Amino acid sequence: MKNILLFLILVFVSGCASMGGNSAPKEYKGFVYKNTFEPFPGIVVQEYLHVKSGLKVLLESRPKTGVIAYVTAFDVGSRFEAPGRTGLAHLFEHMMFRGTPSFPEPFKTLSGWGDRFNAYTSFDLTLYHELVPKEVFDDVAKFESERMRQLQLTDEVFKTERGAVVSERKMRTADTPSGRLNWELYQYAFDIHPYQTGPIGWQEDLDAVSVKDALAFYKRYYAPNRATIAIVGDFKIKEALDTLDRHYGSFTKEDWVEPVVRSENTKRKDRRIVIPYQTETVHMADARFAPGLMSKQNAAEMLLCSLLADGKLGYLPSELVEKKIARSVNDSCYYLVDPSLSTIQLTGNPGVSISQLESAYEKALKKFPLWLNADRLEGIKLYYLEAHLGELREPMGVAESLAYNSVTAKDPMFGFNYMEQIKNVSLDQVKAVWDDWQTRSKTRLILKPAKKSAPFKKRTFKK
Amino acid sequence: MKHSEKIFAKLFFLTLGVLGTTFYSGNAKAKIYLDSENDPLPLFSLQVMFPKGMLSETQIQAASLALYSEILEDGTERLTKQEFLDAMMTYGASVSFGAGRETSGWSISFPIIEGKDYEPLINLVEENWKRPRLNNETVEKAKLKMEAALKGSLDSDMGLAAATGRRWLGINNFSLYPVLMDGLKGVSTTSIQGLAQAALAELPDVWAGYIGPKSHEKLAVTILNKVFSGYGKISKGALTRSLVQFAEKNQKEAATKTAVIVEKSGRSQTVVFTTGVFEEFPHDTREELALHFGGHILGFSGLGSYFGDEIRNKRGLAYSVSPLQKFFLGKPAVGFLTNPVREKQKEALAVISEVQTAAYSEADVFKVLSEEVWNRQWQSFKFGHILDNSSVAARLSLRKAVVEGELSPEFQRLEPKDWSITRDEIREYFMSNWAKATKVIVVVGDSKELKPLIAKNFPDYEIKVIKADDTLSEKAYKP
Repeated sequence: MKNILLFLILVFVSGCASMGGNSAPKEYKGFVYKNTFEPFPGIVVQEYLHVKSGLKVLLESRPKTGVIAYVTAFDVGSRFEAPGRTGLAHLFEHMMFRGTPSFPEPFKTLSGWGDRFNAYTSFDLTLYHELVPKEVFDDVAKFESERMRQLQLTDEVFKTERGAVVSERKMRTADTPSGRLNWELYQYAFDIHPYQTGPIGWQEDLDAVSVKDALAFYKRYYAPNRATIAIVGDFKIKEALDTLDRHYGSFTKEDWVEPVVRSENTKRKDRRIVIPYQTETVHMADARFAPGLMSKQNAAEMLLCSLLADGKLGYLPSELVEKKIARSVNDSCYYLVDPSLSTIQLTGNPGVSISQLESAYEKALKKFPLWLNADRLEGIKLYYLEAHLGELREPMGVAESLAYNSVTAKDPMFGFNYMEQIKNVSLDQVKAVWDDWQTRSKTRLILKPAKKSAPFKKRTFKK
Repeated sequence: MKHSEKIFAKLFFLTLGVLGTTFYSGNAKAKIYLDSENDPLPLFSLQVMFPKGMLSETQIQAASLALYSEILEDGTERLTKQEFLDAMMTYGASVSFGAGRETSGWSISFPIIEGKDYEPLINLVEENWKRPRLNNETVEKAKLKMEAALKGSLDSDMGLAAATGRRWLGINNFSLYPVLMDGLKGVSTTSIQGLAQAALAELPDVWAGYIGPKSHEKLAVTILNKVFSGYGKISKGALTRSLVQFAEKNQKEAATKTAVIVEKSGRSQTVVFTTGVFEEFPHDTREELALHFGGHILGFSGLGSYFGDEIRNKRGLAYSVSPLQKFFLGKPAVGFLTNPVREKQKEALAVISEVQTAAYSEADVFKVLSEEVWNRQWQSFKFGHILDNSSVAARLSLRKAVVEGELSPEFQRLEPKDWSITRDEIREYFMSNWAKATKVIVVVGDSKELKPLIAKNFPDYEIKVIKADDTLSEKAYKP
């Protein structure tokens, strides 16, 4: 089967939302038109810039849907955090639900709009999203604009919400093997890059943060010129620009000095760390350094990772799960702004020792080139296509992809165009990445079953 | 002899000596009800819901159905797992089967490629369903996988608390078993044929849901006709009755109150699962609205809800406060799952006891609710309905809820403008049903610390202590 994707014809376009009479002005109030994108026939995205504030805006009109997906992404994640100040970006994400002049209790307000909202903080960005009926479009814009510039924080509220973050931290890092495994993997893989510490941060750093610190963080990072808004739903372009002008029109840019993010030396000796953990079975993560998001190699890297260790289709599950060595094998390959990790995660079957798991894994890796072929590569591309189409199905899927990629890749269409890159990857390219993958510095983190988990140990950042 | 055992005995007799070739084609009198949602994107998605779940009268029955999903993943009599996967990969197709508590589901999805011949794919999934690779080796492998999955489930305190609570309810109050370690031992090719394949084949009716381009609905019909050819005709359109028959006769008459401490040392959180299962499905649409809107006020409006506000927003006791699924075996099940940090477990258990009283036993929450909150929650509830109906998948799920017996067709037909209920009605509904409900609290942690706290805050609950490992065995749930 050769490049079957070339023959994919995106049918039934006539059924998709159309722009019908919904023109996009070149200049409107403070907004300047920048671009038009069409990630799929019938799905048309307009890009605008609010000149005075530097706020980026992406709009896709879907008449008659009755709903609005509203996403605000800020260009700040834990990537900008310094040692001793970890967890602040995520902690602050929680504070963004704690009150503005017109909306003193955002949880209740958002719940009143149908309760379809959430937010997350990753290494590279912080993203807020709401799906609401179109009737409250103006209210949502007002709320989002207020919490971008007029958030109200008291000491009492700050301490209460920090309690919830402490609970989240324990849930994410301490009490599940996968949480502990991931936390420790990044701790040991990185020496100087902030990716060393996950967005949830260290407990003592969270304890040390004050309201004053949080507000200083807010002023610096939650500026309009650090944000992208993506709105998809039942509105007309001019109507959306009017709404945004009403609530964001007076905003201005903040001075911005890019924090220095130190580069990690990705060529160093392999590391193997074993940590006792209260669990029944061996858990192992085997990671190699992976290129950053914008690397041209990225698509081939992603496909290799799926071919190797996708939980259902990959080669390693067929070798290790089917042969009763592992309970599960999964890939954990997502690409960050800076070089990060391409990871294979394994959970041993009950009774399988560390050495048995490692030995079977190493043997299986050696046989991978025999399994890899062009049909399997083309096949796995179709699963990417399926996921990509699924993302387009809902307004929120499109809005999130636009905002996420605008912030991380500086290109709202990066996620949609990625499909094109995937399509063009050849078997030779995958083989070349495989050859390279085997030579990269490795970090192997193993949780060894024990009656009691070892305490968390802080690694010292190298100066 | 129980009905299921009779079927098993009969099928065992019929299948002796022909293992690997017998196929239970389906009940020719049965109908397949096909409900569709048109979506223009070239993505094909078809699901089939069998009104037969894992919760069963015997452990072996539960385990056989649960393991059937593993068997189906193993390919066909003719094709190994890898050969089957390779063939599916040429279409980017995923096919799966899973046994839930009250129902089971089969599904297939793939991107639609113009000009592609789908007949080989249809033949492939037909072969997989009708002639799976069922032999001693695949059964032993499936058992090992399930055993590992059960042991692995002990690692998550949230999952452990919820699973233990539901197992307790199922075994103690309904005499129905989920998959446990004991049940795995007896599973064989024969039991899978008799208790999974045949049990599914004998169902009176099944439901199917399709999402995709209108032009490909006929492909959905072809797949159903081929793969599930033993069943009778296909009837298109939304089905407005439940296909699931719940085991009414098994429910204990006297409601019980039990606090289960799952003994696990060294935890940094104290996960709490609390639930009450009402005696029966709401009698009319007003009661149904009381259940759904009352549940929305209490927990389903997320962090704007009563539980979210009291436990997280006001006190910062826990990160997660999740309301439970609304039904257990067709009966309303209310409550929530939360994860306070261990240092705050004393305060958290006191607060959980207070909010439970205020929400259910006295239901004062509905009396003292301010006008502003009442109005906000109404808006939230109605807006949520609009948002649910904006997505093809959610629209289909809402209609499926009727077929699964979780929503009455009368209630589903009601427009939000016709929803009407008073605070007193909601309060009365929760108070009267909670008084007769079977109640279970599960707390994961150190029993020495937790026993006195539970005795103090839930004085009328009988306390049981189960070691985490033992939650996978039947003996832990026996009186």
